[in-house]
Amino acid sequence: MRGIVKRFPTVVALNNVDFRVRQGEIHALLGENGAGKTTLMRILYGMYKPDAGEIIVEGRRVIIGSPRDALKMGIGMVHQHFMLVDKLTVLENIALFVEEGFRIGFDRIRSRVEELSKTYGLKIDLDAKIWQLSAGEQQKVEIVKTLYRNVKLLILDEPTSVLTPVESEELFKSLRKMVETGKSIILITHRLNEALMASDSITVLRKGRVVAAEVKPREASRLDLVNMIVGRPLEFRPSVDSFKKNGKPVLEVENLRVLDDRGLVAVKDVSFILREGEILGVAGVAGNGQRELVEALTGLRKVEKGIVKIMGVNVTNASPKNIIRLGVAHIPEDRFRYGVAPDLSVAENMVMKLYGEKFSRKIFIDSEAIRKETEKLVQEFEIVTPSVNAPVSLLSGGNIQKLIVARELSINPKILIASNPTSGLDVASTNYVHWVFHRLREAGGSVLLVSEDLDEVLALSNRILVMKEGKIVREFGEGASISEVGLAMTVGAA
Amino acid sequence: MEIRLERRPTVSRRINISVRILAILFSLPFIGLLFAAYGVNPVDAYLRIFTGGFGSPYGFSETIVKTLPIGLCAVGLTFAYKARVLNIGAEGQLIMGSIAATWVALYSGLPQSVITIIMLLAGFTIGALWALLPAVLKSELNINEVIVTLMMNYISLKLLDYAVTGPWRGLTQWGFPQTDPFPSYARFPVIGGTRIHYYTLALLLVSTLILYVLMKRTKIGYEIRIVGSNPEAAKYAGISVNRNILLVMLVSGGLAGIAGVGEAAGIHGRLIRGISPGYGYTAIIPAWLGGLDPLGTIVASFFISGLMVGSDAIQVSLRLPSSLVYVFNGVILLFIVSSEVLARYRILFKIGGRKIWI
Amino acid sequence: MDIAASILAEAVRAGTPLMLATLGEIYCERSGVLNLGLDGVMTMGALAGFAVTWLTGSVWIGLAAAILVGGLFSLIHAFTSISLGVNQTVSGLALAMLGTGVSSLLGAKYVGQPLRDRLPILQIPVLSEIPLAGGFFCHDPVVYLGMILSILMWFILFKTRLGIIVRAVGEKPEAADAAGVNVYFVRYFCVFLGGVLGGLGGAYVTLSYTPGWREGVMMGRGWIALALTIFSLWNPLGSLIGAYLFGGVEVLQFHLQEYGVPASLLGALPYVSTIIVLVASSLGLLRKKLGAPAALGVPYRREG
Repeated sequence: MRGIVKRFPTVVALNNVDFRVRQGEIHALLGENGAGKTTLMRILYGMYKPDAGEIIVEGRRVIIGSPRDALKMGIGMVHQHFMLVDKLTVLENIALFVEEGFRIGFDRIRSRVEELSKTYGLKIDLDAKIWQLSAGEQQKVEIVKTLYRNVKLLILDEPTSVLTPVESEELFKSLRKMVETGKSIILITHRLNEALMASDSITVLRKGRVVAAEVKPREASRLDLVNMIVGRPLEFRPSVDSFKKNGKPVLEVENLRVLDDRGLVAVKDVSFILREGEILGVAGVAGNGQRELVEALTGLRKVEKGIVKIMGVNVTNASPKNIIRLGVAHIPEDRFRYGVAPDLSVAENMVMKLYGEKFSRKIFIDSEAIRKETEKLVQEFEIVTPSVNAPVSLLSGGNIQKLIVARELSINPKILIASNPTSGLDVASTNYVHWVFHRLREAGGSVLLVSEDLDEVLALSNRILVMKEGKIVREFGEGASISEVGLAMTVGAA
Repeated sequence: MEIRLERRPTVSRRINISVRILAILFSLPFIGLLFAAYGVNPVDAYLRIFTGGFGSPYGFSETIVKTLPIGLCAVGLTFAYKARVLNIGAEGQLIMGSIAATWVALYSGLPQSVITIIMLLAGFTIGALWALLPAVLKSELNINEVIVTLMMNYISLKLLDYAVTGPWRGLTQWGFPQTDPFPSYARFPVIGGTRIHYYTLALLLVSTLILYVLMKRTKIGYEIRIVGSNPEAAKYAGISVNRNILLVMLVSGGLAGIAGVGEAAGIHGRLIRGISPGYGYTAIIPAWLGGLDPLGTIVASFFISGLMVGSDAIQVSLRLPSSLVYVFNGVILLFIVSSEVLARYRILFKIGGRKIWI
Repeated sequence: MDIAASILAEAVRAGTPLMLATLGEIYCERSGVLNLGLDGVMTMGALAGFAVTWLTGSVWIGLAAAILVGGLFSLIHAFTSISLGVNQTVSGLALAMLGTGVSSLLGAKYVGQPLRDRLPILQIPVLSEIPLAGGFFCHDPVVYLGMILSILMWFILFKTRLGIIVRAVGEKPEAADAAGVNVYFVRYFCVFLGGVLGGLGGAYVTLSYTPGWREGVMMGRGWIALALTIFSLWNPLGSLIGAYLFGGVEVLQFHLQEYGVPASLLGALPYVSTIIVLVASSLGLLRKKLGAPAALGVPYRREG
């Protein structure tokens, strides 16, 4: 890919990017969130059109106008958010993807899939409905889908984000097998270790530009790479300093049982205590009940059995309003679903929690006070917006996340429940958020940090709980290592 | 040449308003085509419509007469639409209001001095209750309120039919489907020389003002807007979505009910079949248009009432069917809702290297 | 007993317009587009069918016209919903109003006109001789078409790749897009199909069930069909049950009049039943955790 430029309404995503992949290699496309990696690959896969630049496949200039074109040229992509239809079976999803025209019998697909499974070590159940599968299994379906189409170049977008460390190992083994048969692989990742361990060649993107191309892992130094990714030294190094080990419990959860949207048990029997002045991390790959747990704690989901107490008050199945009144803030996992009202302005969104107490007199709302407060927070958190009265839908995902974090922290909560609070944020913003969590803790508040980012959990938490399949399988104190925690995520109870 | 839709980088009130005005302007020639298909000269028809609605003192006062029910319904509907509750049942709620007023006037036996107040209260209450069922079904069972309110409209029509041909059939009316006339003390007074019943006018203005203040400056308005924009976020913020759904439905139903009282007590002085020539449906357009604020709704209601008066006029002179108003409604609404796209997106024309935006 | 058999036969006839419209709307909604203008589409089809039959003297040409008009009319909604991406509820509502108004306007001269040509009754040999249920097998072709279509459309939707495509487009259009499916085309096609069948259903009313054109001849059937779409759980076979059930309610309406129940109140029966049906569907859906196609009503926009 040469000279690729891509502009979106508010930002230039890719600025004159050159990218080259050689045959038979695993090439890592490395960079932090928002660097432009996914955008670049989506152009290659025909989902986006570049504003400038050209693509050359096997020596010939080509125009890739749609995923169909890409597939015809032997380019396939496994997305970070799977392109699978939940209500259909695995077989139906594959039939959708691989067949042409109108068909009735699908036996041919069955046999070919079995073949591919054996060759690359990817086992899948053809008649299961997608919603019944785990994230790792769904990913296997996605990979089989693309292999079925005889792709020569396979793009994988952050594949390990939904896998446990052991599953990741399995994936890399399968990738190696593919490379041995002559295929080429592009691995999009923001994880340095992955790039170093699994790839043959690394290209680093930062803010839409290439800062290092075709670096060989053996030759590169970690420090150099980190600098290339980030571009400036980090101001805050989160360190886990000792805290009062026996602080007052502020959140007590006993034998919690919660169902998910489909009526299956998502949280099986969870008990834990969050104490004053601590950051309690909940580690685990997405889909193990964390979302349902957080929703139950914040009043957004029904608790089937068990008790939740905040500051000693029983809040099991209490309304969100009452829970907020007790001083609980919540940074939701799904920022678009829960976090903002898209038609309202930045300012109106900023006061969603406090409008009742701080910004109104009797039944009237004080617009002036709201405006001032919002401007202050916008500045503090460096939120990029044309004005505080602009509709929030114009903001980028990262800035919306910053707005949500700013809002929740501005209520000076006693307890902050944060779900993937820094997802989609660049390193500087992530850093700032971590620092604010730290500050909150110093002031005596507590944080329940639920995150898929193991590094984040390890860096910030005083204690770590590992959640798998709806249960807390292990608890770690300070000084846990990534391999210990990673293992617990896979194996389960020790 | 390439044509693409691109998101607008900013959203301005000026664009919002001008886009909608353009929509209405563009819809008129379209309807003109339909006139032509029917065999009527469109220019002639439009001239008659506008002079009919606005060109004479009589036409003007009739326009205000129609603005009363349409405006009341529309203001209430604006409230509901802000919460994304699509109450299509204003027609039925209006009819039920008029039925309630009729009962109070003819069969309640209440003393003269309180008749008017009770009629209005009854109308509001019955209209609100008629909206309650769809509201509860939506909030508890997530049932689409459009279909339910529409069904309630049909049901109310049947109830009306039953009342005027059955138990309430006028004893003095020689077979026409209507009730006896209301006693004079139950009728609303009008502004001299016109049919404008000013109690209803006053209520229209008052309710518009109250709702305007409510939406823009109070906590309730803020909550409703959040519910309308993202109900999940509202829940997360501690706002009760169900309570707000109920609130907007009750208010919009109640206001439509009052419109019904106005029609029964102010215009006809009795209950008749056809007491509403689709006012509740017509009100949807100013409500959707004035979605920006209730004041705009009143202005839009006025204009669409004028259109309706004018259409009435040409129905007789050009022998067009009464459902002409639905043609206007449908086309205008289509153009308005389509124009909203232009408010959020702009069209990009790429001709030979040059870019032109609209 | 004879009464029961004839009621059943009548119910089938009464339910046919509902079934056709519901079948079309099922495909339309399965692809992700909500067409609330169905009542307007049916009305336009009803007028077109009657008027063209009157003008040409052939009921078959009339039916063809109804199909065409229904399809084209619904394309308006397809354009605003799919290409422009407007609020589908409001666009559908506008379409419904438009259909009512335009059909009244253009149909004024046909009010009171007689039906110039009728559909033939096809008696299925052997089956129509059965003593009690025989009446069930003496219907005009459109009724049979309804039955056949519901089975055919069920098969296509669940057993063929075409059906997988339609369902994928309605559940997760991004996935269909990534699979190389033209989401816009599939949606346009399904909306068109909905219009075609809706127009046919409407024409059946004016050409066979209650022959003749007048304002309000549809009596809100389009809205009932929308409710039936939900009741059928977006499954063509379900529409069979729902439509004939409603046909039964309609027929019951007339028979109950003989028992002194006032006609106008009975007239409310279909609408009350619709609400009951919606409530029952919702309760059932909550329990089964099935539901509408996930992307229903959401316009699809490919980013970038």
